[in-house]
Amino acid sequence: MDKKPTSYRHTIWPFALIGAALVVALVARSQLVPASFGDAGHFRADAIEEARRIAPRHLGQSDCEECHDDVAHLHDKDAHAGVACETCHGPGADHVAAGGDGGIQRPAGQQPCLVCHELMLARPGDFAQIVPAEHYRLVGVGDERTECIACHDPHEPLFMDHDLRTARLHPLIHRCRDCHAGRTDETMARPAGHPAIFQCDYCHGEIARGFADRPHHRMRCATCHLFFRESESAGRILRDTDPRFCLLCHRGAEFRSSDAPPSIDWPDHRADMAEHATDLTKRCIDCHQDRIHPLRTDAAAPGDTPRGGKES
Amino acid sequence: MDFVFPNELNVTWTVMIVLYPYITGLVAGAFIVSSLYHVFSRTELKAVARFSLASAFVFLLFAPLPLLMHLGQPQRAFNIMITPNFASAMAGFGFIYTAYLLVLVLEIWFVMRSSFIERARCRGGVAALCRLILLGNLHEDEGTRRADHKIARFLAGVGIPLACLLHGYVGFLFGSLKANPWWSTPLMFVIFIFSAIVSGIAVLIFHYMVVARLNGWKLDQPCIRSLTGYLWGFMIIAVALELLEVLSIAYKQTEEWEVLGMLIRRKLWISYVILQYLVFSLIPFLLLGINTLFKLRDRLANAMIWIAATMLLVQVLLMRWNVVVGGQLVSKSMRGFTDYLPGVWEKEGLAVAAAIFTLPFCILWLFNKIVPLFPEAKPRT
Repeated sequence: MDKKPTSYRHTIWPFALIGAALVVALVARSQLVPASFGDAGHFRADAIEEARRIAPRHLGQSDCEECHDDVAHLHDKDAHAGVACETCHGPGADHVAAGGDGGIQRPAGQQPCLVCHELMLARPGDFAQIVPAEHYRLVGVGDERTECIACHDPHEPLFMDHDLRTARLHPLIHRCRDCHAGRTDETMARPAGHPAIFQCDYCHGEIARGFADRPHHRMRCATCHLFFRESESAGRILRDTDPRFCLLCHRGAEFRSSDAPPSIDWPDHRADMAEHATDLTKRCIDCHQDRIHPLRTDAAAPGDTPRGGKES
Repeated sequence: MDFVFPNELNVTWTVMIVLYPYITGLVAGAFIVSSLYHVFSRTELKAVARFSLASAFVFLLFAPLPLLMHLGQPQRAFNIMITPNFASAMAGFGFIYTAYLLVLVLEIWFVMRSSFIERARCRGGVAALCRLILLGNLHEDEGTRRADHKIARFLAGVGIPLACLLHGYVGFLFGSLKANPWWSTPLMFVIFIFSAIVSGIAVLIFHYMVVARLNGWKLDQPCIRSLTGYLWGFMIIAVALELLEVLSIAYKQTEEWEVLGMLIRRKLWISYVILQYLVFSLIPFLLLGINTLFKLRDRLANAMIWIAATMLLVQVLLMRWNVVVGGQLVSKSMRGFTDYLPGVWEKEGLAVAAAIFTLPFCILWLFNKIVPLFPEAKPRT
């Protein structure tokens, strides 16, 4: 019996279909690729001009200062100096167009603050970060719903008593988190063999020794001696003596917990304690210096504490 | 140690990127088995020839799903083909994937045409679907069957380099990342292909035995034994290549070994040394070796082979995990590690990964409802 010849007729349609699909795909691609694609690189060149034509909605700091110079003055000398108004308040174009009546955000609750200040290991160690529950426990806030602005004025968060921009330059202060991921305990002893890093007691040994047995001994030096990194080797340091800075922890308020640090009524406390009219302008440390650390009696020289000495 | 740059703390290639090469590996491996029958005429594999082809097709359908889940803007996925940037090897994905899918669809069409015609001659929705698949042409005779066979064989031959390209390309992507000492090796391309073949054969054995058990079919013993031999051989090559790669870095004691040695000892000790090698490589190696070298009773042999195949499926998954995640745990400072633990319910979490991996098995079940994937299956007596 003759073998039936191989028949390919039925294969024409599937291959024709694939050919047609290929043509459709090529036509579709020619329609989908934007006209200016590739003119200036691997992107749509017209996008640049289109973006340029969009009116900016963020106006910038100087526009805000035209009407809000009082707030701008506070803002520019404090820890938020580098944060533009529109970072928290949103774009200001609508606000200006409305003649300053509405059209601007007023952030509320903890979240707008935590966007930047919640502890995240990917953030630089010297940036101010908190674990809200821990922070509230430390400063004696019992109600966890308390808003950050109950203590911190967002325009003047640390109540700096002089301008951060002109504060003294100081060699870099390191934290463990600057290099080590996953470790936030800044009080652990330096392990043997660890490269030497700059520590406060190298230069301020006498003060550091006096600090260790006083009520504030659990605080880091930089909690009160505010340090803001400016470069790889130095930053600005500022000893904040504005009473409102101390009151961040010590002001009596309804939201304080029972184990909060000692609290006072402010400003009544100063009037209650005043013996002379001049006492009404006293700063906290004028009376309470001994609860923090001894004042430096003479200039401590680098190497005051032997480098192999006690480390913490 | 533990010096990590801020932008390294979050592992960006998640469990979805572990799953993607795993699924493409299953595709490539299953296709190689099908080609052993269709191209190299290993007739003892006839029992799983159709099933392996269908498995390759179905797994291929779901291979891009983990990538789409990973993308922040999945609606832009087609841009990779509309405006591909060939400065990146990733630009090749769309074209390699499409070409391979096309070859698989055509091969299935020609291999299973007779079954589609048989089904199309019945009534109902499935028959209508089959007529649509056949483009309305239900004509079949000896001449058309011979043509189908020839074309299918040609496509199976073309598919082998494409299968290697699809999966080797994934290994190439990792291997060409020169900034990452755990990935950067030309061997990665080859390691991925061999591990793909291992996982592909393993999933076929695993699935075939489960399906046969559930349906009360008699297992095709020569087929199982042949697959066992291939599985044993390919797993030896795959594991040996993986070990050689690490051994060569360790022996050279290059500067990256400082951190890679620590990565193995600290971060990957359980998943890499204990699980991937000592448990999920060594035990299957022994089980398959015993079966290849000695003639055991079928019942005992099948149990051992099924356990070995299942363990090798896990081994390849562990290998993907240790490569993809392990490489991201090392800081570019070469002095520290980050951590990664996938969530269960998040977008790129374990539940989604499990769902994506389960879907191909469901589609295979549906496929089998349309045309039988095991036409030769006989009931157990």
